[in-house]
Amino acid sequence: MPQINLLPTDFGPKAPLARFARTLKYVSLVGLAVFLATSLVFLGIFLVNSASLKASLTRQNTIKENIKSLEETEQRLVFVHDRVSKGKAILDKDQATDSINNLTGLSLNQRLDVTPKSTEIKGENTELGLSVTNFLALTQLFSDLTGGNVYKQIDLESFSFTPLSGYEVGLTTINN
Amino acid sequence: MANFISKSLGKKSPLRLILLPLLSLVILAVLSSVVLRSAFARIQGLREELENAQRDENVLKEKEIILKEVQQSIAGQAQVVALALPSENPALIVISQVKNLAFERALFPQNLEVGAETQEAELMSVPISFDMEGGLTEVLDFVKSLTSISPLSTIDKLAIDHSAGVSHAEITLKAYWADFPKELPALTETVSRISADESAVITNFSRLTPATFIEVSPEAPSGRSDPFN
Repeated sequence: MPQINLLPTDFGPKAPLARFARTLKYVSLVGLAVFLATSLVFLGIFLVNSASLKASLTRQNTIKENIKSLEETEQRLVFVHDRVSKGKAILDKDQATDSINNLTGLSLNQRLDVTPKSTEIKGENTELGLSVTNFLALTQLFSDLTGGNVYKQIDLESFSFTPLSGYEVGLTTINN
Repeated sequence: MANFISKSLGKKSPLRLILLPLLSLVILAVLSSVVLRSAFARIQGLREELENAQRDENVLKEKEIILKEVQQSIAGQAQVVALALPSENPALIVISQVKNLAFERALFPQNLEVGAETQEAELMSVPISFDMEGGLTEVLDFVKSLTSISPLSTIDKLAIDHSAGVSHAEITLKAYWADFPKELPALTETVSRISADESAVITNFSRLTPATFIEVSPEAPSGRSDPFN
């Protein structure tokens, strides 16, 4: 049966206004639904994260207890790191050991025609005073000095020759 | 007339018709803005807290693994490095080492002098100087042996004069020590394994000639003898 509106059209709300009111109502309802859904999602995330945090803190406490039982090992490890870094600083600073190794490498005490007169080592610098009886021994000495690639610089400080004693050589070397 | 009929029929005015949904929409917007923003901020804070906790947990796990790994070997390594770099002035030990090494080569150190302590960064050092005379081979061999003594010492200055087959050496050594670390890092701070470089240094330290000490062993209590008989 068809519905008959007996009210005059003037008495009803204006059609666009009614449509706007309906839209507003619809938007409000959708907004409320979105709000509630978002709130639920947030609550879920919050609960999951809280549980994860609590579990992580519990695990941390267990590991901390284990680490405390290994405190002596930790002390030793820290101690070893400390000593090694300081010891390495000493070794890195030490140049004289290389100078001594280089000097002993020349085997000056085993050469028949070479007599060391004076040796002075300070860090990477070595001052050598040598007496060499013949030219062959001198060339051999210079060949050994330059051949080993152990010196970055060799300065000939003094050089003299007398037929009686041979060659007197003064050298300053700097380690490579 | 129309107003009267509207009222008499209970019909809402156009303003009232949109006011209710508009008001509820505004309330919803304000509520969403306040509640969701605060919830978001709390979740953000919680997530940061969780990330920190997980990071700390990982650090602690790693630390536990490292400590368990090194547990067996670290005691020996600690002993080696403690001998190489002690916490107190090692001048007496170094002098003892010098004398032992010299006597082994039939050399006799003279004019032994210990200088003033100096500090360089975290390292303390003391100069020890002495003279000696002997054959060049023995002196050079002795000087070379000084480069590998424990506690760590370096040759600061060396002067050798040779005349008539006798070498006169003036040697200044530097002996080092450093305070032991006083604090452990925080529990949540990471520790590192002994690296390959560090292992090489420890091996180097273990090859140093150790000081020889005479250990007096304790004697069992004995009955007191009667001094009158």
